[in-house]
Amino acid sequence: MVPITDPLSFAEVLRRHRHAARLTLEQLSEASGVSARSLSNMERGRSRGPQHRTVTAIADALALDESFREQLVELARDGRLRDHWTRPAGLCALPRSVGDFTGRAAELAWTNDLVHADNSPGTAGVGLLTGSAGLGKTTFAVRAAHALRTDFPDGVFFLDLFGMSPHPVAAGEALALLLRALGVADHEVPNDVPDRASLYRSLLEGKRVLVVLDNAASEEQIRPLLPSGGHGRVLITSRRLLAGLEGVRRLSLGPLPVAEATELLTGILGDRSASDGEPALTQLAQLCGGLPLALRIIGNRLVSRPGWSAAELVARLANEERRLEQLSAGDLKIANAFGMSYEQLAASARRVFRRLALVPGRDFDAALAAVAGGISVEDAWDALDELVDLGLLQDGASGRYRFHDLVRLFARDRFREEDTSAERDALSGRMTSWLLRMATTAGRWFEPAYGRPSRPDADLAELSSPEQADHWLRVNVDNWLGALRHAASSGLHSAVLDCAESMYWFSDRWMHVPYWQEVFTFGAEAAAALGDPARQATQMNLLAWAHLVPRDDPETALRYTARAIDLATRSGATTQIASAHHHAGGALRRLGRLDEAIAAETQAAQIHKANGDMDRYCHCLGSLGTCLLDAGDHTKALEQYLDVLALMNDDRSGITPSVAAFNRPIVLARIGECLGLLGYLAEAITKLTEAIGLMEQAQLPVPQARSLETLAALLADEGRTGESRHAYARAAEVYEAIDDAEASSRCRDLAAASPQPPKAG
Amino acid sequence: MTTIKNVVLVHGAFVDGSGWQGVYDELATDGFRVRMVQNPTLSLDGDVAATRQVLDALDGPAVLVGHSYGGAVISEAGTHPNVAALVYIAAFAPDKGESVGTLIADPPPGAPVPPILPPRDGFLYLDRDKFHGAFAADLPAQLAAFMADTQVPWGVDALAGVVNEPAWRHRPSWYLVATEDRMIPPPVQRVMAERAGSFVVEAIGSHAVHVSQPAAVADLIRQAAA
Repeated sequence: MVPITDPLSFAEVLRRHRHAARLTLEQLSEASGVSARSLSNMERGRSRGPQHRTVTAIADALALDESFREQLVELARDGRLRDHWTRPAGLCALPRSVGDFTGRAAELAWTNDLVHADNSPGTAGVGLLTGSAGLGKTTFAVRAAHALRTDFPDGVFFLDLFGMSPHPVAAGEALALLLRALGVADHEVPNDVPDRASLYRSLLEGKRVLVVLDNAASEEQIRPLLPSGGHGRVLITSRRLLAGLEGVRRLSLGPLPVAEATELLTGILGDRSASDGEPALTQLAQLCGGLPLALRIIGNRLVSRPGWSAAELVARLANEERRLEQLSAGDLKIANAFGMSYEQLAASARRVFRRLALVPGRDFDAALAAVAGGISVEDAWDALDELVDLGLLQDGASGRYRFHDLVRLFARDRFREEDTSAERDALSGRMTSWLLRMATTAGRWFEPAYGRPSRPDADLAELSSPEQADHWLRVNVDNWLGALRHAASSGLHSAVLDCAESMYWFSDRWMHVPYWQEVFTFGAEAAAALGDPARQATQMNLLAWAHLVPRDDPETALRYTARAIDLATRSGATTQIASAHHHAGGALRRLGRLDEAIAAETQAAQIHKANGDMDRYCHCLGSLGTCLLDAGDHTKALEQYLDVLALMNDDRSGITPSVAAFNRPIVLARIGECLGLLGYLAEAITKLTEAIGLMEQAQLPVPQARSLETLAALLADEGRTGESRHAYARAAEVYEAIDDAEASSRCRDLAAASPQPPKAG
Repeated sequence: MTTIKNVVLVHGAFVDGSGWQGVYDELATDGFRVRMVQNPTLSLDGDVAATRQVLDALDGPAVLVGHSYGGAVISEAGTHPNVAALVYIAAFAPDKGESVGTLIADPPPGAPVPPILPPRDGFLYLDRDKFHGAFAADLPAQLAAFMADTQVPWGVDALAGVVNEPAWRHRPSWYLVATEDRMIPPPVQRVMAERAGSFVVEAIGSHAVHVSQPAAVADLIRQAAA
């Protein structure tokens, strides 16, 4: 056989191996148990990342030696990951339905009735699927939603509310996610939960959308997410009846009847079901209590460990049942099914599995699994593949894995049972420390003073670009936040404060999320515990920012700036005093207290200048200009901006060149705005045009869209209709690119308007 | 509100209390004290008396549960001071002056006709051959055959017994609608539940839903006891 050394695709390698073995697709199919059609799809690159179990079956059939086998397995894994990365991660996208979904015809008819029923008063087209864990509520809801797709041309959305986790998704957060999915731009999402809820309701009323709210925790969580009539429909799953909700039709989901349960099991087993025989499979289905989760785990257990027959498993399970008959029926059947798979694992995979119960967040990747198991990432991949094959873990998007709630409980049980309390504490400490150091290192990527962290700890996962650091922080937020909570409650002040401080810059990139108040509160408490008023002042300023910028709560922001000024004054931290004045200026401006705002920004600018911190000085001068613009003093505002521009253009001013480059187009645009307001239209158009060109180069779409819109209005005022239309059209494009649908359609309308466009502004 | 610890189960026509075993197991595991009334189904008065006897013996408030015809019994007996909540399982919920007989006199068009044989010596029976399909389609054939052969004759006086003061006018009520019921049509169940102002949950199940879906029944009873 020709050695295969080039970097080849899975498809190519598979085809070469099959040819080398002189097998036709049909012959390989027969030998491996994988259908000829699936094999053909793999060889044509249509299925780039087949499941681990499939690949090992093919490798067995080809009798590959160890190194070829590993190569094939790794290529498939890469393919699976690449599929995850390239798959468009639609917001609140409905997951795929399982291919071997079985039964539930009457339930599907019920959901069909529900969404088509007249929207009579008291029934707002909301259905609740309830029942205990493992009944397949989610699987069913996903299947039902797929079946109903054509009835909802405006979209079918799916949101997991994590009702059984210690931190279910809060109603406000859920609303923000759904609003985003419904096409509302980040910055258009209202701050208050009631405002979000009413916007959401008005959208649902007019659209034919179906929203699946999976795993709901409580009435409080769900109530704001329900429609108030109109075309939208909602399907909820919950382990609870949520008796406090009115106008909801409830269906109690039962276990699968024996015939359907046996059919599901037979489907999972595929070809080998014939050799096991129907009587054994029927018994097995009964021992699983007709619970789809138990059936899947038992089925996967039989498929991936062909050594045991169904009849043997029946005997084992029946025996377990007698031994543990004091447990309630459903829990017992499930725990037994898990147990059968768990004891088949190698000791190391078993250890990873049970220790993963300690992961604070909702999902995890191989790097965190490696920390949990105390093994290499490569070994963690193998363990995760095995756990997914057995159905003990689910693999989600982008190489991330998660437990079913019940499996996590089982893992936690095993963890408590099999690891000593000292081992458990040690692992908890290691995981907390690792997560915090990862988060801190990732956060520092965005800190100008740090840049790329030069020597991160050797045990940390590699983050080699700001994009990777950004991605890590976002997808792992509930993990590092969980670690931060744990560290805060354990008094690990130094690590907590380091982590909170490292988020200084990153928080600005991801401002519309609800975490920052908690993060910086932990930071402030840690600084207080360490007796460090200067660092505490920094956290207070960050808290002021969190309330001012993303939350639009200037009153609260002012309370934090007052605390920050007090703390910073006590410790002589002048930069923080200035920052506090600057934030206070922003809050006062928001409150319309413009004289005070101007005074605060002036004070901030003076302190920064005295400190020689020209970057911040410039920034405060810009804010001062904004206050003056608000106050209607266009002349003074223009002077202010011209001063800033002169500073930026002066090489010896002490401003960091990158900061100057970043801000120059924004200041130029402001100058253009002022000139326009003062009636110097031609000059204003020149400045704005220059600014827009620079923004295009620097890729600053947010100010660019706004400047284009201003420019278009000025051009219209000058009677340059054609150019104005063109600028509006371009503004609409840029707004659309930044997901601001409302502004985009406004500009599109203006672009299409009559030869005499209305005056803007 | 203190949680209710007592549950009293009242079976319906053609069966006895043993059909409650699955529900009993679920609730007993949770620590409820579960009592079953072995009501003879000869007359409504007699069944109400048997139920009151069980209620009298309790030390505190109870959830009173009725299946099928048992719904008429709990509607009459449920004004007992020890009853805190009512749960109807695919059950009749007659209003003042109504009986099961008047409630089934005018079935909705197209609804399946229960295979009740003409009365013999004042008793009604279900056609053995049609029992599985009509009463317990979601149970294994063997169990359905056993239920058909052990069926308890239903007294015509029970069918005719009139409810005087429906307890659902005085107590909160919960209702489990069996969507595949071929004895009491589901639309009739929904109308009775709505009239009683009950909290409604549906389950895909036959009239014997208390046997086929004990978890759904127990969930609703837990809710009523909460």
